Amino acid sequence: MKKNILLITTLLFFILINKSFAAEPTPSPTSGALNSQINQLKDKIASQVSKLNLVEKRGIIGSVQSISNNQIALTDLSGNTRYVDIDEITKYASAANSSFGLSDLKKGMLISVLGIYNKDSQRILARYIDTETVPTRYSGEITKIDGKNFNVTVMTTDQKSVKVEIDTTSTVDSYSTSGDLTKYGFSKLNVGDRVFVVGYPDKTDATLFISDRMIDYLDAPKDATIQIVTPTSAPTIAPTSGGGKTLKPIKQ
Amino acid sequence: MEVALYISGVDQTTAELLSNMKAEKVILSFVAVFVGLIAAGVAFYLYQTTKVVPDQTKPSATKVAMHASPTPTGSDTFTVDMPQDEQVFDKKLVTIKGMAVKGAIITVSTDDSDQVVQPADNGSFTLTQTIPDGTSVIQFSAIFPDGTQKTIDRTVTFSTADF
Repeated sequence: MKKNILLITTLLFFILINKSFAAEPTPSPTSGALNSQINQLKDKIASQVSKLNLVEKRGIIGSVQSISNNQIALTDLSGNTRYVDIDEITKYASAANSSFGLSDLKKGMLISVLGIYNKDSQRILARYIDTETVPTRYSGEITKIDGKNFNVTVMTTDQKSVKVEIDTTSTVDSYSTSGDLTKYGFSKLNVGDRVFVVGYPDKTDATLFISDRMIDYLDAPKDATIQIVTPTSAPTIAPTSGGGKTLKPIKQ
Repeated sequence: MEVALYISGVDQTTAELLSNMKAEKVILSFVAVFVGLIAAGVAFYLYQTTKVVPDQTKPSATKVAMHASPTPTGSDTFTVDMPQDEQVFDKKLVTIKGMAVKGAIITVSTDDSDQVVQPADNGSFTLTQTIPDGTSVIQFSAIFPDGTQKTIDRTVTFSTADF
């Protein structure tokens, strides 16, 4: 009996030792080749992913600063200089000119560029270039209402006075914090109202701004930086009765 | 034949051990201790190789959740998270997301339409907006409860062109 126990114990010892070595399988030549292929595939995928992350589609708007055969320098809406690469497949368009091309681009012209942006070089390869018109937006308070000519004067948050014309095509809405945007009218506008105006400068009168849309914020808080100066009337001199000299006709 | 001789040799050794009870006990004790040590070693090795150590360099899910949407505290807090500047969309309806101080009046203005919203209690605001064809500017302006104003512009493009 004891002999058997000793034998079993010895066998168990060797079995356990063998199992611990068996935990690390010897890689076969086939699995090694497979691993190599998997690693190559991983590298290729990583390379493609990095390429995809390096470039992306982007659209920018800016004014032309300089033009050469294969590059346009722009000043974007944030004031940064942007370099746009152009090639033979770049397409040009303009709402005003059906045959618009690279030669029609002039310094100061506002254009939009849609293309492939390279994050590394921070340049954009243009695929489409269009001329652009961006509406002007003003925020401020009404300081004067001219009911006869249907215009209002708005003092903006940067202390700029703008004469805004509300014509028949303009829309006026109001907004209150308890509701939504609702139709409003020119006659309901008041001096001191906080407004937001979207439109374009008048082509004939540079001092006039044509409103396309206006929002009157009915219960918006006042901006302390906007100073509305109410014009005071010129002092009138009351006619005196007894202080002046009386003229008498000369008797002849 | 050799196996038989080996077994007979083992039998002889076993017989000698059986004859000496003290020696047998000592050997059995050593073998038992040795087997126990091996088993403990294997168990420890397996534990060490299979346990998962959390990466301390990455923030935990709890930390991320804590920083996900803090309620804005500054009086002029106003951010637009979506859309990103110069982003190109292949759909005209875009989602707008951002944060502003509670009580602010936010106006979203495209080339041809406007929307006015107010942020939720935690300061977040979400809405959908149809964007014009081509490249245009969406202006986001916020009137804060103290009357001041902040404006953010985003240039966005609607295009289905494949290039």
